[in-house]
Amino acid sequence: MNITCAIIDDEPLAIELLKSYAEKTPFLELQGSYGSAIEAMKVLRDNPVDLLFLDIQMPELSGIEFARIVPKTTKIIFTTAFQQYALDGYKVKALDYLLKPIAYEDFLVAANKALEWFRVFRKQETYMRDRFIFVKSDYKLVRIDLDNILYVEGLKDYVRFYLDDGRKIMSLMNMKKLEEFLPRPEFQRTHRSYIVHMSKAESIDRFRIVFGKEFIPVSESYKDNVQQYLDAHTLA
Amino acid sequence: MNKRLEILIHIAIWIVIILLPLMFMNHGRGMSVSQFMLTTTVPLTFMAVFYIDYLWLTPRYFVTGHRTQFFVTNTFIVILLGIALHLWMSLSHDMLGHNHREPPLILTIAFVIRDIVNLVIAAAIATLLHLALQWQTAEEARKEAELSNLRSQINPHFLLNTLNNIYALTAINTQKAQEAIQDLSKMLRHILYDYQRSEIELRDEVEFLKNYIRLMKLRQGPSVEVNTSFHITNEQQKVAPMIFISLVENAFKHGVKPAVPCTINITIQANDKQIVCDIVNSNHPKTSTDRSGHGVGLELVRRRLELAYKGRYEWTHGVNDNQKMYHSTITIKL
Repeated sequence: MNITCAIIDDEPLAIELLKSYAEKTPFLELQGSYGSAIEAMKVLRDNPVDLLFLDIQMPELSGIEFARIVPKTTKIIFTTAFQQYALDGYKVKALDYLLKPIAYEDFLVAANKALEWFRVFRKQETYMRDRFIFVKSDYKLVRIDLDNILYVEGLKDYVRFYLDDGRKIMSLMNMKKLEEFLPRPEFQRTHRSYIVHMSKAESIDRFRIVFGKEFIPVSESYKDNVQQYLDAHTLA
Repeated sequence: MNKRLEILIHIAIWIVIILLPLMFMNHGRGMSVSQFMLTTTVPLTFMAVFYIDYLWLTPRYFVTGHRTQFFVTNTFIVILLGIALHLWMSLSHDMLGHNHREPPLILTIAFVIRDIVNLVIAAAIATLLHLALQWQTAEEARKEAELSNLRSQINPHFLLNTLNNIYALTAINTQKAQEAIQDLSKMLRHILYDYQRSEIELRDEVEFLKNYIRLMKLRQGPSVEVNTSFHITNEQQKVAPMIFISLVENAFKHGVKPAVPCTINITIQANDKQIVCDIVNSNHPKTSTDRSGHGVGLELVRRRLELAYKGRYEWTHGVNDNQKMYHSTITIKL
């Protein structure tokens, strides 16, 4: 899998260096480099990239300001010579920040972070589009339609899918990973051991989600997320 | 010194000088207005000479090195006032109807000479006082400049940015990286050793500027054009340090805008009579949010010039009529 990237920095040598790094990173596809945010804006509006290496301190339009107007699907890694700006970087949900001078190892770590993020993101996109996943179960791959999932129970190293046709499918994976891959907000983590397909819930009874005779608990730490989902879908 | 306090001290001293003779002369008897006028004439002439020297002649001629004009004008004024004083005194005596015999000529001359000596003393006090105060403020300014030098000499942002660029260069162009390191180490050496002196060779300062400009050029895109021309006829020419660098810094700070063609022209010409530093750059005023430390650099330049070349320099700066270019020209007369 490849991700496309662009570099924005007002200093030509900084661009040259990052360019050389991007070129020797196999999964990065450099789309272009720009000497100012304004220059980049024109191009990136029509041809958005996955990842931006964005200098913070630039005249006219700073990296922080620019980060606020790029599309949400573009991830940002800030590059800066000054630590104090890096803190501002986290306020605009940067994936990472690199302090100049940037060593290739650090660059690679940040780029890998981006790669990982896009791996998840793209799978999620695929599941959303095709509405099914394959999971390993008993040495075979079993197809599960997302629309058939009622809820998922976590059991140590395994998870168990409960489907609306009564089937239960066990698979080796952990809850955290699964939660990342399942499309939100229709799938909600409600408990350390449960992910619930909210649109399949029959009723909510004193903050327990009811599927036939099963009552799935909502724990304190996930209450707010569930409440938010319910608020958005409750006709009052 | 506080200006108001200074004026108060002056007034107090003059009141004492004017009233003091009255206390001795007025033996309990009343005194007519004309008598009072007569006795105050002498201190009033002192006052005139004092302030002519203190406010005008000393700063205008003595400090700026026009000693001949200073002495000629002073002599002229003192003699004129000495004679005028004598004429006024004898005229007043006549008008008051004193039984007044004309003293012998030799005595008249002696009186005039006495008055002139007194006036010269007043003038000397004025000049000395002016110089002392000036020396004091100069000393304060020197200390302050020294402090601000320390602050501004190695601008940490410049150093950090340059190091980052050199880091990039080591990966891209080793030859250029080595040159940049040389430039930087020369700059640092200059700052460490040469700037401790109050005067350095202009040649060294120009070399320093060249190093700085080369390092700054590394950071600019192809849209920035930098032209330099340095012409020094006298190899031994001295100059006060840290004057031109602030202007060059400013030229890069305000003359560069991304993706727009920009020019920076830097010229220094020096002969036996004067040093002229002329800097012209594209005018891209910073937005209000980007105005970090605006005007601080220029204030420092002004102070350094005042310190080293008071009354012997000219500095013009501002935007041209079409608002496109900013120019800054310092002329130092030697």
